[in-house]
Amino acid sequence: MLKKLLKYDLKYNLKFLSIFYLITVFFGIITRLFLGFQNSLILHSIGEICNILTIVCIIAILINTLMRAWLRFKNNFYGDEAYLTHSLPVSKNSLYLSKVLSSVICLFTSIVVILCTIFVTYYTKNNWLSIENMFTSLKDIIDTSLIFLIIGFIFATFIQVSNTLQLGYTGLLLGHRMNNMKLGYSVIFGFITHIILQTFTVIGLLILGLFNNDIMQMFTTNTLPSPNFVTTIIVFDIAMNILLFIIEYLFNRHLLNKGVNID
Amino acid sequence: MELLEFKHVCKNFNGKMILKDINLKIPRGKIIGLLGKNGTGKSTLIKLINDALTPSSGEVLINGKKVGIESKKIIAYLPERTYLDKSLTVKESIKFFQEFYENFDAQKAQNLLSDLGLDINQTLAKMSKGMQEKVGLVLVMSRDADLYILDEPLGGVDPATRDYILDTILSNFKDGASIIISTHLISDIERILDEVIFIDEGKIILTSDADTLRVKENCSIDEIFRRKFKC
Repeated sequence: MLKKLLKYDLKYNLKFLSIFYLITVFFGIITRLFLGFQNSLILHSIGEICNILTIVCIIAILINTLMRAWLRFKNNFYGDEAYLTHSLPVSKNSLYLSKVLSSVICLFTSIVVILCTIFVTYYTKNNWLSIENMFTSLKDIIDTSLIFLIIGFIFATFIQVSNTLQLGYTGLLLGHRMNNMKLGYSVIFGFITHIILQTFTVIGLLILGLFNNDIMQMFTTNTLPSPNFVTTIIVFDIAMNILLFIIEYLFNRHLLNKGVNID
Repeated sequence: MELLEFKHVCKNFNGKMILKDINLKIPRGKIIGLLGKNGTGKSTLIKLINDALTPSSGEVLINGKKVGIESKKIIAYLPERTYLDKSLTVKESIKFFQEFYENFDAQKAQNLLSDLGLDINQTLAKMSKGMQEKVGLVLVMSRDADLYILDEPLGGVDPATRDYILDTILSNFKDGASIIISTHLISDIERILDEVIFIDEGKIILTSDADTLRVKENCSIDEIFRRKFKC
């Protein structure tokens, strides 16, 4: 049943997002082609305009991935479609897991499209060399490879945005337990949950600081920590966000299993 | 074992008691009218059977078990709202029902839709509300369920179509299955009812066999309803 639910959830989200994907890649390619015309002011200007549009589209992809997932969740669990969702012979756990998996898959797809667009639009040997040179100059404060840093940063961002997705679900689940102003309460509860999770992150960092002087130094002094500080922070961030993702998942599933009240 | 049983069920909203200590048994093989004015608790009662609401106290049992996956397999529910995913075509909605309900007959659904002259390749979003309601009813009645729950199935359709809908209901449910029809349009459904349940202000005020009630009161159910709920 999970497979079937997932199929419909993915279809709903990707049908809409794929339009954004195509537009973004299109502007990326146009930008690449037209920015190359250094001698023609008109063609170069078109390239600059497309460059701005590419960036706008990249931001739009990220926002729409989140909004679309939240909208689907709200409509399916609390809107008119909820009557169908809750009368399907499927467990609430499967219903929720399908929403989480579909939104995380869509987020992954969006990030891949964004990275491909950035690569298509901006990659040149010179640009890559500039990044490498900039990174080499930071060797004293970052004791890691450039590839690890890029992959670590992308993965950490992916996990963090996945957590934000689930925060939205938590907000909607708690907000719809209220009798009035459900959407308003959903935003408030989502924000409160965000603050609570960030507090957990800081507490986790403090606990890690008890065993790692570099981390504790961040709280107690203004001096630069040792070069392996960045690696530790990236690994900690990924581990902490995975843990929070699991806690959020279990909490939301518990809330849903307590039952819903559809207007 | 009763097909459906309410045991001391109460439902509160915003501090207001919508359903008050409901005790009810629904037998097999009957067409039951759940009758009451607007806002008396009919839809709330129906939503509790379909997991769309959680009781504040008491329990709802279907075949002796609490509402869950097993009960959803045998209940075909038509809510009062257009509940289908409007981004899907009618054909895709049929496929959706076929994938999730083992007892769904896709051929029957297609035949009924063709009788109604509905284009199965049309997106639901492009259909009128009345057409969407017809599609919803056809999908529900194409299931081989033990209990059909129809919440205001005649509310949004013209009088000419009402007879067709009632005939569709009557000719598309299996022997031994029960139907609960919630409505305030009693004269339209009176002819098909075996039993009636009158609900007012969250309480069940009367349950009776339809014919016995007619003989006892010497008038139609519609007339009895008008007397009981006179403003």
